[in-house]
Amino acid sequence: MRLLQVLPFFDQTVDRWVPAARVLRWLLFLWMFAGLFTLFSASHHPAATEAATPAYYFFKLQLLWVGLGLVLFNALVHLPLKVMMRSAPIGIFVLLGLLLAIEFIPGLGATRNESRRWLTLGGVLVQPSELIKPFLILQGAQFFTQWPALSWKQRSLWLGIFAIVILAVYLQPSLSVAALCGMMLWLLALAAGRTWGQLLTVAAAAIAAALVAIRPYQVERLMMFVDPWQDPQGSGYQLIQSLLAIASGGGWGTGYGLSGQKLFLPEGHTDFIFAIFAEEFGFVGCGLVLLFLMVLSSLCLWQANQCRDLTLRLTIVGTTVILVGQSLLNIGVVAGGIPTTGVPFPFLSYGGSAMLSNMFVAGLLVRCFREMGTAEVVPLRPATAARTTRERRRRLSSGQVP
Amino acid sequence: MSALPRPTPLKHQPRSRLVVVWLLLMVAATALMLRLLTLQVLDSKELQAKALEQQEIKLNPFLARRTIVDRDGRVVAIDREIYSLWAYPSLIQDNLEATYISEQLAPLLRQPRPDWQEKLRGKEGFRIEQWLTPSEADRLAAKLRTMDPQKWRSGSVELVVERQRNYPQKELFAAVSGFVNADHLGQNGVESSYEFLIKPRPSEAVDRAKKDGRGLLLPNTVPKGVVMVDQNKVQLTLSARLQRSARKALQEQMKEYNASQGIVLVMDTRNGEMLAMVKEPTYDPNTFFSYKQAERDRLFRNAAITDLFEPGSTFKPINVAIALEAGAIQPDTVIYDEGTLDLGGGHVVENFDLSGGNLSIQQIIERSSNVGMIHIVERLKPQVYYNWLEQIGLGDRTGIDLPGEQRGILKTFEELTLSRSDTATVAFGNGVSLTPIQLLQLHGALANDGKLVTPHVVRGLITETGEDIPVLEPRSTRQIFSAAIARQVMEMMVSVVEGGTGKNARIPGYRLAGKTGTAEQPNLSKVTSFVGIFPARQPRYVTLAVIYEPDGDNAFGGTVAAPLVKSVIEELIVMDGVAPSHREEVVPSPPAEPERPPATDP
Repeated sequence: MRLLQVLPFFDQTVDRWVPAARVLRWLLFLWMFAGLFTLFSASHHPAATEAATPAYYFFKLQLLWVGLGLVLFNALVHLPLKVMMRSAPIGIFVLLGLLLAIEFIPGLGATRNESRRWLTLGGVLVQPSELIKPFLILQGAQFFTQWPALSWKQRSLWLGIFAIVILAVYLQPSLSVAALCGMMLWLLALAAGRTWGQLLTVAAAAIAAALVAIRPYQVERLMMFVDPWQDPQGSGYQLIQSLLAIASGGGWGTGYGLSGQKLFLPEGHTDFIFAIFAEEFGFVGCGLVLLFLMVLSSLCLWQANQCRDLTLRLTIVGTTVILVGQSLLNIGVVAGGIPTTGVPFPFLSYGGSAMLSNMFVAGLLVRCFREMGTAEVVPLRPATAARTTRERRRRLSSGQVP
Repeated sequence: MSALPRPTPLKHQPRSRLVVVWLLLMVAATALMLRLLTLQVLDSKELQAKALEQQEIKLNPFLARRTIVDRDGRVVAIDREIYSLWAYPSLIQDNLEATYISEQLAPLLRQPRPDWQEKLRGKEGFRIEQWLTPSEADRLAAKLRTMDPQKWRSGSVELVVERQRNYPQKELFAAVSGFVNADHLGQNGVESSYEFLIKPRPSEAVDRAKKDGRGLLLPNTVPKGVVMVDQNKVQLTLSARLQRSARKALQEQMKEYNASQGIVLVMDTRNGEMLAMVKEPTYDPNTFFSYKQAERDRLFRNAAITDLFEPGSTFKPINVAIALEAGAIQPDTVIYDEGTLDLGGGHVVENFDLSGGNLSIQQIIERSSNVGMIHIVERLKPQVYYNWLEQIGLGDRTGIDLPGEQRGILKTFEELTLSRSDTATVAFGNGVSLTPIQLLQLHGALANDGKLVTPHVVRGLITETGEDIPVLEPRSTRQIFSAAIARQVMEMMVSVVEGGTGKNARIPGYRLAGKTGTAEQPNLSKVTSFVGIFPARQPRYVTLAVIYEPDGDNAFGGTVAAPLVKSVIEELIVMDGVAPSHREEVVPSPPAEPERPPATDP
């Protein structure tokens, strides 16, 4: 039994958690298992045909990644955020090194889907650009909290490092992950209370830099989403297939496993999995997903608002933006609302690095919710609030961790 | 970073900034909700139709035509798969790839076109080799699968399957079977009239299935019955064995008399099943396309059902049956035959041998007396006679299950009764036109106790193991003569073979009924015919031989056609193992005691 405690379901400390953390935990589990459920239907055909593997190959591998991810998730839930914070710069430097290594040392990176670069570690393909995301959240939260106390030298050093990380991710080339990381850091700065002048300057500089650095094939891709029918067999094919899938779903969907477009849509089990979901569950299913994302982000940001520790608050904002923001970005791409860039749907899309990275982020989020009780050290509160605090303290003294 | 001081909570933490972040997420989610609502509900119709269009595949299955077999199960027509190896040089990137392809394929090719290796470097698609058997195609397919994908792009060379209709009996069944055109559809014969049985097509409604992004069919969406899995065959009533021997005899006879066309028909009198339907000259359906356009009609036409002729004397027994039915004569009526008869208007009818005298009806038939026949028919009221001709189906079709059957010609009542000679010519079988198959059918009725059956060449559908599958409606039958009268006429016809004009058809030990016919035709020199019914008692088979335009002074129904019918009936005797009805004719005396070997004892 003790061995099983590495998995979140067997965690006996949960009944002592604050209610919000427990609700959040179940919301995240719901998301993870809905993701597995969706992948089961979407991955069957690509596994059997394109990859020429057994039909459940992708699903079984994903189960393995979910298992590993849940162990990581549970470990993080029990690990003080302070420890994680200390590890953030190390994580960033190691992964930045890897990113630069596969970019500049030939033969180290593996090319997949013409534009993604991976690193082969002991037979497993690792995507450093995915794994760097949680460390960026931690470091960003820490950095913007400390911003007023830092000298301009320190500030520009870290701003420079962030810029290099984003650039390295962009050079993968992984435009969407770079954009996501950039937006996340910008929103952290926003939430941390940086002046609008600073924020707009940075945003303008980033956009200008992006316009300069953009590659021709990316321009084509970016413009294509406006009218994919111009090249239905070429650059527009994937988006057209995705739109056809979404539209085929109609109001109520074709039913689980009955998508007809999953036989046509390339990357239907990874970046475009939401299109298959949309076909099988219709607008009702899609609406529920968006509603879920809205509820989850509202819960997180409401909790962040309650939170008095700026580092915690920013970590919550960062994790929320990464999980929910990436989901919205993915739906936008799949529905042809924004330029087509390869961004996976968290917990739904097939992929080991992304799964571990998202589990890491989810673990951080739950940990933040749990630490809110201890971080709250303001004594001057109304009686009811004080009682709540006392109760929490009492609970804390009986267990070790909130 | 750990070196940095732990930050203290700021007094003016800008909580409004969290509202901005929250609002951003909410606005994005709402916008996406609206986008999905548009895609999935409001504007979904057009996209849904497009999706369905690419997912669905309209099936046009290239199904095998069913095998056609004869009554004993011998294959008459069969589909086989043949393969062609095609190359599409526009998909080949460079000479290196072309060289690789030719190196890999060369050892497996048997008869490729000689310039195929050069043409691989060209532009246009071409057929490297055709007429590949399935086993050769299997070897090539295995090779194409295992070729190195780094060195060539698969798809630039592919195997294309085609179906070919094969007629192993060649010319033997051509008149009946017909052939298939380039679209694998029946042309002529059974292939055309039984298209529905030979090539069952699924209905339009179930003609759709789903495919995946690579264009492959999803097997579970293919409606049942699209791919024919049964091995049922279409069975003919014809017998290849009888057909072959009849054809051989016909060819010999035609050669001897230098005839232009010949027909042999054998029908089961009880049910109308055709056992043989031979027409010469004919064609090979395997290579129907190689015949000259001008020749085609003459060779491809099934004259037994398309060519009208004036039957002449072979029609006389029908007239006798009519006269007996109408009560104009009795079997024992005696009629005076003058030998020659002036009909007026310059028409003088004379008997073949100019003989005459008081003749019984049997003798009139036996001698094929024209004058006697005129007297018989003139005993009938013209209107009664005409009604009878109509009633037995003259001027109509038999309804045989082959395409292109011609309607016989029966003059109108006014034309028929215009002058004495107009009626009189019909009495000995001129002045009416019918097809050989109809003449056969009418004689079949005489042999079948007066019951007219519908001749047909297809028995129906049988399973792989030979069991019948009921698919065809029973063919119509009609009583046209009474059984007693039909038997009386049959007896008269027996005497034709025993001692009359049909002596050449006589088979010792057996009795058969017959009638000769030799008739001048309006546009041909002469058509000789002989109808034979076997056995005389309880008849089973009616055989008709028609030889067109035989040369020679001695070319008559009794000399040209009767021996042909005889040889066909002899084959029937062997086929069915019929015991002789008059043993004494073939076994003159009991066999002698076998001689003992001489004793070897010293």
